[in-house]
Amino acid sequence: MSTHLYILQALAAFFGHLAAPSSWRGPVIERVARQVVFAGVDLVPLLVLIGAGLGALAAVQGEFWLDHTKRADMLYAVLDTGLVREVAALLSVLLTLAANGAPMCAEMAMMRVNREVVVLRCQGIDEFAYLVFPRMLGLALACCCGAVVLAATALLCCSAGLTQAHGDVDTFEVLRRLVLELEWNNVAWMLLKSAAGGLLVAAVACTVGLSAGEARTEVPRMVSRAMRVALTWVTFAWFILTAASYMI
Amino acid sequence: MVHPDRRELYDMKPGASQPLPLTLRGLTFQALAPAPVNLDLGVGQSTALLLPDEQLRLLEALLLGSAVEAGCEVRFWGVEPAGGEGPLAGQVARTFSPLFGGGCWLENLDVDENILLAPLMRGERTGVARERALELARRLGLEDLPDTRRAQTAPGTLTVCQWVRAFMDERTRLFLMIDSLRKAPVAAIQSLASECRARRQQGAAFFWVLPLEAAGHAEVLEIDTVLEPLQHLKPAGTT
Repeated sequence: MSTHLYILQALAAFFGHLAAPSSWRGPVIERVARQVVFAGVDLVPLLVLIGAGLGALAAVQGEFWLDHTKRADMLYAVLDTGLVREVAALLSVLLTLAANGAPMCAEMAMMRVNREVVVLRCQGIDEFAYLVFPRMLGLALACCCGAVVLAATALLCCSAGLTQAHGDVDTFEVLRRLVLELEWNNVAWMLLKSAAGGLLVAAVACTVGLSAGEARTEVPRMVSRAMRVALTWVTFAWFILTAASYMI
Repeated sequence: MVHPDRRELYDMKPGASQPLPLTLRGLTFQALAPAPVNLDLGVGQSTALLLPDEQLRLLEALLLGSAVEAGCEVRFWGVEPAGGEGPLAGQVARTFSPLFGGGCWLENLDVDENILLAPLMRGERTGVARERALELARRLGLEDLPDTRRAQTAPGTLTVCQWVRAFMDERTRLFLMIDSLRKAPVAAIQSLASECRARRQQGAAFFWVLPLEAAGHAEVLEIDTVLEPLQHLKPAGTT
């Protein structure tokens, strides 16, 4: 069966497990928590740094936009939509892919090479339930948290940038207007897109990693392949979700 | 829910004609042995197969469902072991040879977490599972469950921990004790013998695959039949 079918199968199995919380045993919940810490918390400083840069850039672009259009009434809504709905979610997923996709795939492939997966099976432990499901859930949660951190930092820095440009408004007043203009559906789409991205990255990394053979030389090949396949899936999912977000 | 392949194991009636816990047909090691090994392991029996390391590895892979030896057939209650004991898990417990590689233990868990993983994934409460494992470990000569990684644990302790892991499931009716005595303390082997005796009295069967050097332990472990198909390949200096 092709890798893409296995990925679809993993996604279907994920929602099956998600719908049955009674199957989430202690080690599974612990693994989810570890995944959130590893993929989310450890990435916070980088997210803040990138969010700050993004916010500063958005403030400069906002100024240009204001100079050309003179539509101050729409400035906050445009910044909100751009930063929260589109960029924060996309950057969060791409950062997660770069920081966690490759290690996750390598870990799975090494477990396969070291025959740890066989040991699990011999003990009657479902490898999807123990290895794949918690990583998918953990990465989806980490991606959502990452997008929130990124968006919040970007909005804060964008407010500070706009304040500096105008000089007559307080930073927190600008931030308050940005937050007030924020529509709930922008936040919902941001969370949905980042969760979907996290799920896809983990599904691809685990599926490709677990398809490794028994030689250690397979590991780098699998990691490279996982990166390509994950980028393909994330791109397609992005097109579909973005189109849907503007149609609904 | 009982796996379809496993349902018949639950439905067995005493006295009825049942498939044997383990059957092995036509085990050969290319040019090394003149006659193939055939084995029928019945309920409550204990049989050992002594092999040199290389052949031991091959047989271990075969018992895991890897088709390394064409022509040889292995069945657990008539079911083929395909990629581990998926459908037979709980019925079959095993130890893994250190020759198997580092994979006997999950590297990102401590040894005690490894031992408790299967019971916890079956839904057992952590406290209960730990208590049971600790009791078993003490019977087998360990003072405590090691909360260290595999690499930081003494090989003899790891061997005993493998026994604890294998004996944790009360439902087990076939034990595949693969190279399970390596570096084990002698006193612990005696404790293992009494644990095995108790499980055999409950109807469990034991299949030991051991290196040639372990032949001396067969009597202590009360093994009924010892097969040495490659006896002529014994390392120099052993009897």
